[in-house]
Amino acid sequence: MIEFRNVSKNYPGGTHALDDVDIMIDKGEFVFILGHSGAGKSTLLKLMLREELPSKGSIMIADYNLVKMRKRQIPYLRRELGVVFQDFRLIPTMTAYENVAFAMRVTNISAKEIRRRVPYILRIVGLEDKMHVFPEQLSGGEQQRVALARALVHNPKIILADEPTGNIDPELSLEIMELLFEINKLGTTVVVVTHDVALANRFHARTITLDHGRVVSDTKGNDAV
Amino acid sequence: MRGSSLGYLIRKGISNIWLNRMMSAASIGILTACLIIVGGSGLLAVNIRDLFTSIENQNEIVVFVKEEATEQEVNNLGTYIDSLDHVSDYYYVSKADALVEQKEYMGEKGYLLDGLEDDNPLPASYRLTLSGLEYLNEIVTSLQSYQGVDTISAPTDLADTLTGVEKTALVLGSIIIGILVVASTVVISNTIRLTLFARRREINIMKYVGATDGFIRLPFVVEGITIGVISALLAFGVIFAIYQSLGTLFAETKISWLTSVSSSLIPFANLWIYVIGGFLIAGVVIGSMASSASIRRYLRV
Repeated sequence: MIEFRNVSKNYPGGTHALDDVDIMIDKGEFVFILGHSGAGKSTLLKLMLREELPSKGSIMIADYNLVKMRKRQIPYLRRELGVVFQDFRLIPTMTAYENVAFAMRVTNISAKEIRRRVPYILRIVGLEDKMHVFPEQLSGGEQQRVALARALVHNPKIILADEPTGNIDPELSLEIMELLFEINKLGTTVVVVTHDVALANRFHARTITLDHGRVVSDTKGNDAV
Repeated sequence: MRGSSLGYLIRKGISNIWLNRMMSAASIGILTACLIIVGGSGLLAVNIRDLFTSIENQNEIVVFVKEEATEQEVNNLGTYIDSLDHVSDYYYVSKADALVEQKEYMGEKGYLLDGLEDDNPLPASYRLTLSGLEYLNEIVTSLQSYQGVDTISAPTDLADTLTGVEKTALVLGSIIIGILVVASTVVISNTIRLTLFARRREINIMKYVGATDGFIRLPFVVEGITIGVISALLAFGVIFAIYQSLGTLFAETKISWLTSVSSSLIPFANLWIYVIGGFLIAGVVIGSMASSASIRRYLRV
């Protein structure tokens, strides 16, 4: 599902953000990518989203060859990747429903399909009662659930979560993580990028640790939760 | 792209204008002003052109044939004139015709010319009408040395003046139009840049959820084009009002030459379709140019 082979990324000025990284993630896995700031996590994410190209090596995601693909294929790759950010990135002037519908509207989905699917997805993340509430009236956990719902609209093969609990109270973080495991159980590959060792240790999932642009450990998780 | 999506993107583009109403108003203002100036000069030019054409048509070149020219030479001259470019019409006036013409011109006193038939002092001539005054000098020069030609009477000074005025107007007009087009493009593209900034969050999200470039860009192109169309309609309204009221003003004034100008003004009914057409084309072209310029520079998808 996700395959990094001998991937290096150097930035002008001599920064080696990633150095000969090999990562293989299979369909249906739940993986933490752990590392402190500067370890290369952000670069890894940018490469996965095809915001940047590697300096060396090859990347395959969901049957797309990220190095060789055409530029106009990029949006279709991104529809296979549902992304969740630490800062939620919701549009404040739109309700929860509209935020999710927006992601569908801008990808050419019919109004009928939007009306059908948005409530369904909001129900999956447990927000059916708050569909028409604006983000500022929602808690951090709830906002992240809206973002997660938005990431799920295209029925992506992979969910990429970048510090998904970073801005959420610890007790609510658990809910989000459990939701991610739920989604994973339905067959979606989930990759959680975090600097939080405690978070990764709490769940017994596979953990790939990055340091100074290299993979320093890759521990198979015991059975997940 | 499906209809509902297209509708959504177009509504988005129009709401962008409202989002940045101050800058949009500034853009519409400057583009409208440009169009009014350009359109106004255009109308002025068309009217002057029309006036020139009527002056030009009243003037002809008269090529006098030498007294001693043979019939062969006269015929050759006729063939040569026929072969010249830019001569829209010509005819031959024989000595006898010239005398008849002169008598008519003198009216009551025409009898003074009686008895001259056998010893006619008036020369035969060719009368030429040109397709444009700008060719006058060239044609006069080429005829002057032709066999059998005596003298040529032509309004060369008038031709020089009129052609000069037209050329100057054209050059000045092009420079002004160029400057205005650049100025409007810059202002509109700045407006759209501000919208891009105001909408950066949405653009960012669109990118991550896999919206295609076309979807991300279309609202901004719609914004530019809408600014163009609104400006075109406003400019048309203003031009219409000015043209009509100037016509009435000139017609009612006591200044006689202005009154005669008003009578030779081309009626707006004959022009409006070109004015609105030109404005809409210019508005749409400038609007979309401006939006694609800012999209290219500031929208990294």
